[in-house]
Amino acid sequence: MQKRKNKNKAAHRIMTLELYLMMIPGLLYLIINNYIPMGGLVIAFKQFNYQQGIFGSAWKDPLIGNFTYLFKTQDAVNIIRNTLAYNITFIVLGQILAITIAIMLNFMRGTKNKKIYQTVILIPYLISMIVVAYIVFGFLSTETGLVNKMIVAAGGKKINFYSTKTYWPLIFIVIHLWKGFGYSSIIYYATVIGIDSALYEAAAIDGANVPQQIWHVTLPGLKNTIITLVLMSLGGIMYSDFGLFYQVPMRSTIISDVTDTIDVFVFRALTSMNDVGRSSAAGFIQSIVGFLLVVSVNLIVRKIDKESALF
Amino acid sequence: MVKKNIVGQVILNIIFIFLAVAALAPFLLLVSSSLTSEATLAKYGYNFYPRDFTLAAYEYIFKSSKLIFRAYAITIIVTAVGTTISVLTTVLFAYPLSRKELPGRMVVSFILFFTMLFNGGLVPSYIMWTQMFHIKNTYFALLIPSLLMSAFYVIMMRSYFTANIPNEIIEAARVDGAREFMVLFRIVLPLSKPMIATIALMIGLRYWNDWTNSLYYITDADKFSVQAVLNTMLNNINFLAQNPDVIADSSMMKELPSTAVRMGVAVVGVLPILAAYPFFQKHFVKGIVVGGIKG
Amino acid sequence: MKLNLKRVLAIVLALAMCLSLAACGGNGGSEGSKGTEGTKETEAKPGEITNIVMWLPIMFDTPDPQSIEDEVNKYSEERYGIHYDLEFVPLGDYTQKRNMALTGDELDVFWGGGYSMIKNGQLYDITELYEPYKAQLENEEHSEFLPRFQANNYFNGRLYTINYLVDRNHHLSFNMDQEVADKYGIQNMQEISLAELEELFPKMHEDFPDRDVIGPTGTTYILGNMFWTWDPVQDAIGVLPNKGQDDELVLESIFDNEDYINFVTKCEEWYNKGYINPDILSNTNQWAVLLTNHQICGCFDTFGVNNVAGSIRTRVKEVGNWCQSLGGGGYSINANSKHPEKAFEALMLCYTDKDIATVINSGVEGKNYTKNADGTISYPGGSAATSGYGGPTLYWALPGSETANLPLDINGPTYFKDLNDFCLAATMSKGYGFIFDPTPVMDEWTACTNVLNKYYYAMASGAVPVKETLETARAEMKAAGEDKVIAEKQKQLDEWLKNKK
Repeated sequence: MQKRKNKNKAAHRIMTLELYLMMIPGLLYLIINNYIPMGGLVIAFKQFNYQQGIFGSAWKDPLIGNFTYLFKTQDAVNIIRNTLAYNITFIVLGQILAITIAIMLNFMRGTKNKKIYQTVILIPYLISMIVVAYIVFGFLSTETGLVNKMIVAAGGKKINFYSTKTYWPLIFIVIHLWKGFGYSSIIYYATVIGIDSALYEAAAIDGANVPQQIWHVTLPGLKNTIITLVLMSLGGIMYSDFGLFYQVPMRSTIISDVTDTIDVFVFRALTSMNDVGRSSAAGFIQSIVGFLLVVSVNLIVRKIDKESALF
Repeated sequence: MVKKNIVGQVILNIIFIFLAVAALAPFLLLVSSSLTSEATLAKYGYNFYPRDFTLAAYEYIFKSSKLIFRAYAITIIVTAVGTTISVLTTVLFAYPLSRKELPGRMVVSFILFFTMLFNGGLVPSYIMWTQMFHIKNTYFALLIPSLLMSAFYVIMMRSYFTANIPNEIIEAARVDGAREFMVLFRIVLPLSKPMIATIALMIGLRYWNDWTNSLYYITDADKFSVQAVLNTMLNNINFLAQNPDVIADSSMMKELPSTAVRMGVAVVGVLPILAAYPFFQKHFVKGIVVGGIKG
Repeated sequence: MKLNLKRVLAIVLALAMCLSLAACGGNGGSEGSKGTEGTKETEAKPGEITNIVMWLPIMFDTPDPQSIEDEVNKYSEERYGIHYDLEFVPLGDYTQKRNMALTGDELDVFWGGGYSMIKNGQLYDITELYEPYKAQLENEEHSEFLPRFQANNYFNGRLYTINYLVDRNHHLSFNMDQEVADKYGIQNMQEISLAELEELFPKMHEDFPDRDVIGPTGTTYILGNMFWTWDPVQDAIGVLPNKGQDDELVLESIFDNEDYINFVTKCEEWYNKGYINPDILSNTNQWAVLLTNHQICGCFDTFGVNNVAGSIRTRVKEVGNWCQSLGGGGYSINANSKHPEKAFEALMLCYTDKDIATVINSGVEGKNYTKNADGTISYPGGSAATSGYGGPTLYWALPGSETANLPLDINGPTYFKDLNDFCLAATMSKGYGFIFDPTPVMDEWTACTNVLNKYYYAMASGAVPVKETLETARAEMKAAGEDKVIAEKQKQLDEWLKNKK
């Protein structure tokens, strides 16, 4: 009995060793690429001087001096509201769309068709945002834009999109979804086709029709992936797609109350002053908020279903 | 029953045709405007077919940079090598994390995920890479910084392993005396083809689209990647746009790139990916479930 | 492929080796913490050659940079013991790359300067180093623009950047398409008043219906460089009216400046009358392209002595030739440089040594350019994009162009002389040389900049209702703390004026 126990213990130890051996390259990389530079976060509390470097530069007086500019402006409310509102909308709508597409693809017959559709819907993801900005201009421009041409043809009055605030939330949502749906559906698709077909057969035998099969087989199979992806997106809740919010409005600043996010504000504010400390402070805050949010939600998820938690 | 299926399929196809058109139409706009003359573009805006066909934009792009062909070669090689190493590193990291029996698993997961949230920033990374590791103007600069392993894909892979690889298979292999490396490469990976193809595609795209590493770490023109070259072109155009008095002489005027060029730049950066994509699709096929598990 | 433990271990070890090779030679994380006292300069022994890295901006394909470097080193190594290591960096990427590189010592001489770089400790103090060159460069024989414009590179009495020949002062022109000018008999370089222009606009609108009368100059606004009669004193938060010529220099908010209000009111009128393109707020085309394609009749543009073929310049009377209080610009030395004194010498050689200046500005003779009888040069192939360098087109960003004195054929043989004379003829704002340090009011300054970005340029597009927007802008500027910033700026300005006397 003791012999077998020892044998098991030994086997366990070897297994552990081998598994950790596998993780060495990744751990090395994480330490070098991510953790060593993390020490540089102190820049957020310093007056960074290029000659004195990170550790030689003087501490900022007061210590949080690099952070105040984010809050002193009355636009602070705007940019935080914009960032959070857009991100939450993007996460919710984006996941729903991606899941729907993945499930639809899964139920489709005809491999050739499937392949073509999959390739085509990926195309928007590959186009860089700067170019998307020009394409959007092709749609929204007052003189030659396709949208305005249609409005005029229907008897309406031209809309100057680039100086009107009201339409931009919708415009951003449409662009974001258009750009991402092909790409995000890939992950869900890969997971969906991994679901054991025997489960579907079993459900069909029990008399379930297609929507019921989706509800009872597909969605539970995707549960872990959905939770994981949403949790990871929450970590970036204070960040935003700079290209989308800065380039697409074609630098029209008159609408910035609805188009500026934190990243855009920081970029605009700091381009002329080249203040490393202040931009580091902005990143610091974005990270902390995302971190706290993820940790709290992860704790909740752990209580409900330990498997799906990130850590 | 059969009738219902056909109706369902038809509806699905219609939906996807609509989606495909929505995805493709703007791209068509892009391609056609890159083939239109500048004057027509400014007067009539973008159109789905080139009103006034010309290859001027592409001539400009390929004339502007004799380096662009070399850049293609570099990008392809870097993407291939980088993706391979990255997928390997990712899988090697994700598999142990998917094993519940690994002690310290939660700690390592946290260490991994933490890197997604906290970032030291560009300046500390730059200082470290250039002063500690001297990667400036080396090919390592294109392969390693921020690209070699991403926590996102590790977590995706780990989730996939957890959800789709039954513990019984692994236990069975272990009982048969297999080492962990063998379990991983002989059993787990073949079952994970869809996910591996997925992250290979995504990582490949990240390498292909990356231009920030070139921007900060490469000054030798013969190591530029395609995206770096194209991005520089666009940055130059932007610089001129924002400094209007700079272009105010005849010499500069002749050299100005046009809107069509910007469109052409996008097409040039995207086409190779579209050509390579079908290659990945081969693997998006349902994995084979190893028999003998149920019952 | 047979994968077993040994193979995988081998791969892993190889990977680890790769990574450590990349790290080899690392100097243990010094993190750039260099002391600021003590000489960094190691005395170069006679015969020893110092390697100086110089970053030059380029815009065109430079397939053989080594040839240019070799050409300049032909002279510099023998004569001065300096080896130029030239890096040609594209204009659009220049600032970002440079800012990163300044954290270390990988470059010595570069294009750029200005207050923020001084504050960040990126620039080497060259006040003493420049003294011996002053007499040589700041006289009639060389050129006189340096003594005129250098004042904006001093901060607290210390010098950090050396200017190069470029027009920091401007005329304001209403450029006109040659066709349009001919129709109304307007001559090139003719003086014209705003009232006269306003009489012409409706005529242009009628006679050339398929063109916009007034085109955008700064992509989304019609006033080139926002250059009129107010002196923005670097940031347009607190400006000097009347080109800074008042006896008493009193700063006011830009949104209270009479000339600004008048001009933007006119912009709105012009927009409503259809003279300005309705899409101006999202425009991305440069005016020169629009003009050459006959899509606009003209535009308000600042200029020095250059011109665009197919169009003429007029000189707006109200503005004249004057220079705003600018902050910094030129070539500087990296504060982290290993050889700052030699680096400065290398920079100065571009101004004093004709051969070096020629190569830096034009490249290799025969290969990148050919000399003409009248003293100008031409590109082989006729275009900068095929010349292999294109330096002559970027004369406004390269040092020593007046020393090389090789203007392009289309600019004419007396180009640099004309440019120099133009600079000398400028009415300098009395605030020129004053550099504002926003550190005491940094947060308010950032907030004000944000408000400014929203409204300052937008109102000069004509597409926004001026009356309401002015109200909003004033209110937001006040809330952002503009009064505090202006008070601080005035305080510093008064002190600087006192010390000047």
